[in-house]
Amino acid sequence: MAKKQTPIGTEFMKGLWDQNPVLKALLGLCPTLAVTTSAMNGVGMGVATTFVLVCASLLISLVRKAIPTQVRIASFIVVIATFVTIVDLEMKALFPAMSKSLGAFIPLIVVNCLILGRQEAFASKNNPFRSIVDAVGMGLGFTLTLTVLGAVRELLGNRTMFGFQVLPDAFEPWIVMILPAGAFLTLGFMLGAVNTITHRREQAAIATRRAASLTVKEA
Amino acid sequence: MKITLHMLATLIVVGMLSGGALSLVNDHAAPLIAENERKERDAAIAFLVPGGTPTEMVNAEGLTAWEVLNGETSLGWVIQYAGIGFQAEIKTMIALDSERKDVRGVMVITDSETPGLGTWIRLSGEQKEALLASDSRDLGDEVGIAQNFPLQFFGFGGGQHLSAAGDLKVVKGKTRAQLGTSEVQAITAATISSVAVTDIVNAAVIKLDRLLAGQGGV
Repeated sequence: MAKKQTPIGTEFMKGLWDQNPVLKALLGLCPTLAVTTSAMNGVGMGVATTFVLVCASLLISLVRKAIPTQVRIASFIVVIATFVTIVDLEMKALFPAMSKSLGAFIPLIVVNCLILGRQEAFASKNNPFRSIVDAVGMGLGFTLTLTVLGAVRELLGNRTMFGFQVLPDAFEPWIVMILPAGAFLTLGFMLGAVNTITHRREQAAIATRRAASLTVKEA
Repeated sequence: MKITLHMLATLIVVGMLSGGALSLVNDHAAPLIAENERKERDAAIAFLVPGGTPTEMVNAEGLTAWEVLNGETSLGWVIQYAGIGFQAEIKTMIALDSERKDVRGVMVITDSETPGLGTWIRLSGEQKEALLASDSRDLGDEVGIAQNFPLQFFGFGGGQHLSAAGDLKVVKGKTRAQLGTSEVQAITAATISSVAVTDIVNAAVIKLDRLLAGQGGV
């Protein structure tokens, strides 16, 4: 009997919440903590990572049956490194300011475990369409998380949001927020909030199941 | 044996396709990257020594220097030189007067210093505007404030400029009036970045003198 496939909508949405690469799986924390000194940096890193993730997932799912298991990781790394170098070169050529701002973290996308993880866990086992949907969902989840993290740090550390001043001059910027410690603090609060929401949802689901079970017994 | 050949063939094909793709992308991107670097360099020279035409005089040992000329008259010199900062390389553009005795400005082009502290070695947009609005480019009253670290390289009041003899040293806690022409006030909590920029300026002027002497002097 063929294994029942997850609906395509669920496949897409899982990256945004249930399997969010940063907030649930804690993957790709190096760029997450290092480059999110501003919201725009978060968007830039997220979009670059999503591009690499989608392209690598598409290519690897297309050739998955031709790659011997023994050399699959080596092949995945070469494919990922190729797309990362393409992003790095094109960013330097077309968006030099953004490239400068993200610095060495663009080439380091090669070793972002989110990308290799999705190739190994998903793209190498699924068809191209499902792989692209998975990659776009994961990439979007990663980008949104980095953008929110960057926006909070930029707002409190620099009074601005996407470069525009939001808080008045009377607000003394919290310099710690744009330092590495600010990244850890903000991510910590975000993880705490996500865990609290998840826990409450689980408790609500359990309560609903119990109520339903009691209703059935009484009936 | 069959699987070994299959593995080898796979890796060779993947490697060849990767190399080919990168070669194509590089053909497209390399001229644009070079053009971006040239534009950035030209803008920095025009900002540091305005009103002239830069003529490349030296390009050796990682140092490039231009003399900015207005006809036959020298308006000053600009040196492009890099050194090691707190975390990675700091690339700078350094302006000198026409006799190469005074430092007339420093712009950090590339760095990876600590945000909010070491990054104060960069000229901010507001500082650039203030310098452009000032005829003398000497914002001496602003020197001594940590965020205004780069301004002291443009002048620190009363027409005084930092020495271009390669003898600059970083000091801490002095008032503006106490600073000498070979003293650079450090950024509070970013001494390593302050020292790095100062060392780059010292090394650049000494190396330029040596290279020009080797060419027969200018």
